[in-house]
Amino acid sequence: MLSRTADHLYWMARYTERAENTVRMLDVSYRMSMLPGVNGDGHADWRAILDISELSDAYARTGRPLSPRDVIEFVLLDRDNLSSVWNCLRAARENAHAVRGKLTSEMWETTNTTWLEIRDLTPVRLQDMDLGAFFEWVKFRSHLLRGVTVGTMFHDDAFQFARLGTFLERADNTARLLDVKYHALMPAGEDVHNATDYYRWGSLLRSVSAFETYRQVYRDVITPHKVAELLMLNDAMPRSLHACLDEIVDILGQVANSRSCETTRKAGALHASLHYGSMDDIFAVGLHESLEKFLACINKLGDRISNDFLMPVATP
Amino acid sequence: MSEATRTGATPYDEMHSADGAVRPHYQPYERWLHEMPRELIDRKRSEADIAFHRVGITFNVYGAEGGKERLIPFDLLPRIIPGSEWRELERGLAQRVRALNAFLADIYHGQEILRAGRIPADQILDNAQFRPEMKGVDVPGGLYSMIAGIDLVRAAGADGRGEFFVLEDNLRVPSGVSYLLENRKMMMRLFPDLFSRYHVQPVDHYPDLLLETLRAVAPAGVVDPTVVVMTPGAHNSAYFEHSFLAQQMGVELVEGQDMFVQDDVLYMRTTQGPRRVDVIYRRIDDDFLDPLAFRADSMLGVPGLMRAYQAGHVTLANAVGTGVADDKSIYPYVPEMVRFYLGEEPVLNNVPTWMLREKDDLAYVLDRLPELVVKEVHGAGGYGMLVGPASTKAQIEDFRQRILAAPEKYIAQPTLSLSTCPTFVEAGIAPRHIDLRPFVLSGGKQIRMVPGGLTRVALKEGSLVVNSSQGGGTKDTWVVD
Amino acid sequence: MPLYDIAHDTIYRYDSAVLLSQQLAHLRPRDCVGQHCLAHTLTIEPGEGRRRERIDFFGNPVTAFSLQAPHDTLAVHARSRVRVKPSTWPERAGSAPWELAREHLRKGLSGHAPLQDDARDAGQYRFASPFIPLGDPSARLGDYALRSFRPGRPMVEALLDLASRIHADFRFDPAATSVATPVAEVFERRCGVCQDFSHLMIACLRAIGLAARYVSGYLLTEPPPGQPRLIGADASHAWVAAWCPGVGWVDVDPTNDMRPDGAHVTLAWGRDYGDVCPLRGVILGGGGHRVEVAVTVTPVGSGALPQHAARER
Repeated sequence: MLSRTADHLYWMARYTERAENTVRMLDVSYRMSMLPGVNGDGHADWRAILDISELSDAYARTGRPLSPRDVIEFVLLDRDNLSSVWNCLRAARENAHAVRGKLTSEMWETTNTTWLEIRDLTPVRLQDMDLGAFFEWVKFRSHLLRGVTVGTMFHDDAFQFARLGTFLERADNTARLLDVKYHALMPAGEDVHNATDYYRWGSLLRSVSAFETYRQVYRDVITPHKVAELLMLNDAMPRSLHACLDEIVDILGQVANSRSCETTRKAGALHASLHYGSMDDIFAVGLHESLEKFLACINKLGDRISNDFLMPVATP
Repeated sequence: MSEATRTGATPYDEMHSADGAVRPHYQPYERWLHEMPRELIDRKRSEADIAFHRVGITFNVYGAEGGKERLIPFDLLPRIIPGSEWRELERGLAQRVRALNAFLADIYHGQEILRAGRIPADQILDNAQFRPEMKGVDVPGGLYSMIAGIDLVRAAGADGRGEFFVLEDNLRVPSGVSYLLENRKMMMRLFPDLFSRYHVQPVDHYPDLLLETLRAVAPAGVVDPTVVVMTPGAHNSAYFEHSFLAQQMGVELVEGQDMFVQDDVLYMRTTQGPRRVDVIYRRIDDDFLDPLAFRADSMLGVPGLMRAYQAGHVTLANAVGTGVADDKSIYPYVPEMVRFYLGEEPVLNNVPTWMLREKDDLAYVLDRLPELVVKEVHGAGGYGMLVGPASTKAQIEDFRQRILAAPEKYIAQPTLSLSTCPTFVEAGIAPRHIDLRPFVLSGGKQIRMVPGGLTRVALKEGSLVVNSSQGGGTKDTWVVD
Repeated sequence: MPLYDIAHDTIYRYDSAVLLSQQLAHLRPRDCVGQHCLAHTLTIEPGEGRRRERIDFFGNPVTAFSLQAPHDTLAVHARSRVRVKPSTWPERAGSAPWELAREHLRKGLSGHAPLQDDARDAGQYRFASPFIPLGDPSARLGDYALRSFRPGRPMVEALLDLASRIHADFRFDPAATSVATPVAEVFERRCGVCQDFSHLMIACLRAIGLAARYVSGYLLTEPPPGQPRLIGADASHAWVAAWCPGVGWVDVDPTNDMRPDGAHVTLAWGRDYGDVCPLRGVILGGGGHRVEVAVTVTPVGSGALPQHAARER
């Protein structure tokens, strides 16, 4: 298939996934801000939101105060914030539009309708809305697109590249979320086996739809160590790093071409580090260091995928 | 001037003869229409609208607010052409396209027709559409316009018979064939019973014919050519058609950025690595094809494409430089081309045309502006023209000044009373003016076309402008036996 | 007969890496009446690209090359050795009134008579071209030309007079114009460089119905007495050739108000600058860039043999 077509499908999926994960994070902070008595530093959560998406500097430049409402507006709707949910959904739709002929009508209609519904949403109108319901809507639209993609699209290379986008983005987002939240909740020096704040850890799990799963897997109180384990190493947990890498390695095997060997090898090595990794090893190196390394690898993997398949600049 | 084109003649009615009787080929339709309750027709109309919107058959109108996509109105009442008439048209169209291709081959090689003085050389050399880059370049089969759209109109003759005239040749990137195909699909879906009353010649094999045509003009020695459709992108007004045709032919829809040239060979970038491209059905103007050869600021083209093309490693359909043959300044000479290259008399006539570069013609036309249609020679799409009878005094005077400033930029024609066909309008059924654009495919030794073509209809009462960019609609076109 | 060694170096420095570069070079002097290119090399750095030679549609040699490895500098070094014969001027044939040329073209091109081959070839240089539109200012340009092309005046005389007037009326000013400055603006502002004066003169000639082409090349400049020839001090040059029936193309250099006579070396010709610019390319990446061009024309003794041949002896 055409590289550009693959590129558009890949980014359509990535942007949709990014929008979903962004509201997942917002949702957690929003809920927590409404809990009585859990606000030590009321700003910490909102700052963390910006940190996760590397938006703190951009936010500072807007001159807005660090209030929940301002941060939510900025992250959801700001036209100049290219990572805002509004811009992600616009970009997803633009990518879909460019390859409309390759999408099933359900995929196109889903992406297009999502965009049309958020397009005219303004901060003023947002104030009148039930934020929780809006977050649910964004998640639901993302689920729907993924669902119609799996359920209606011919499972050829085009399909694989759309999936690749989803899992690469998800691996990145889960790692960021864990990295930032973990350190916000776990001041240095504390014992990782002690739950310091049940609600906060619970909300982190909820943000990746893992609260019930945690209970089911561990049948135990929530400890930071186990939360990290679930989100990194458990391959049955759909948003875990391990599960994402399972998919990525599988897809790279299916779409391999003559120049992608090294990419496949790198993805395989990253996968192995999770598949055969243990939390003790990870904490020995340091969770933050491990996640940072993982993010760098995922980033490079994205570049390699671009070079090998999506935007090959150099000719053979 | 022939009686047929006299200004103000009663238009030829496709459905009714002069005495009001329904013409034989419309009689079964008329009976059927009589049986149909009006509400049913209304329901079918809105059904068609919804379906077209869903499929996404839309058209970007230039100059419209934000390049908004708009639906081209589809009229449920078909335009019916008897088989015998069509066969004659087909003969004339094939002859005309053969002559036009011969002209292009000549102009870019020996220029015999210029040496013979049959066409003034300045009409070619002083024409921005003439591409010196094409001089001496041999194209497969000597074919330049593999896909031609010839605009025909019909006017009433003195004997009551309608005569077809060629209004314009479109040899660059003629569009509209997707409407032709979708219109037929829609009619068969809405009124399957109608098709049991008529033997309507099918048109849906057009994509197959097109693919065969494109494969037939692959560079010599290529056994299983890779064909692609090249589009300027999703923002182009005809993007729907580009993706439709690519999909129907089962070939890739590419943009300039998807391709690159190495060692004078064209490749497209695929996820499985570079893949050689042999034939491009390009829906992008010459100027934008290759920034190294033409407009350097073009972001739409492929650097080096012209080199690959000149080396004979890839075929462009249509060829570069076909615009010199469909320019309005060249149009008056097409009948002469038929005689010069084929040694035949033209089957299809031109509309009589005055060339305002000639002093006598200019004087004649300036005296009669309110009766005539004046067109810019390098204009397209119904812009930059004056329809005398439909214009105010002020508009005519304004145009007169424009003509006087540069007479060589204009030609004039009598106001043809285009034939009318009954059409659904607000108030019921009323006659509206129509034209016809058949699509003529030349590949290998054959010239082929699907029966009929795209019928465009001017929906405004009395309007003669059928262009979709100016409020025209379309009809399904039936050739019946 | 003069023999010249010509060095033409072009260096592009880009702000960031260029990932892909495709270029067309008109840097090999073409063979033509009175000129023969004895040797030519084109060195491109970085060197791992691909290149192809061919002849363009005006008969000029052209080199197409592409570079696919990232680079932040592109250097193109052209070295040519060219023998030039001082031109013999068509005094007698050129004494025919200039209107004959116009009539010959008009008749030939307007379909009122069969077209002769010579007029057909000249015809491609008779009309507007991308850099020389003959729209709005053509009447004014025509008026300007007609002050030299008075009725019945011999073609060559009128041609030289027009060149003299352009030389006198226009100021040479490299800062005043760029490659993109339209002819109309040059005419308005009365200043420019050789490219502008050539375009202007061509526009004047075409405006009155004559055929004229753009010649790209080099000019030997003599250093001031007693001083050595400075490497790179020369520049690429441009002048005009006009078509005269029965004679052919007559070269004239409006920038220096002279007839090329053994000191001009022809690179290529076309309808205007766009057809023959020395280096034209499309790049991916690069950001901004700076370009340096250095041209040196060195006479190689009077009819001396190339150095390596001398050594063999």
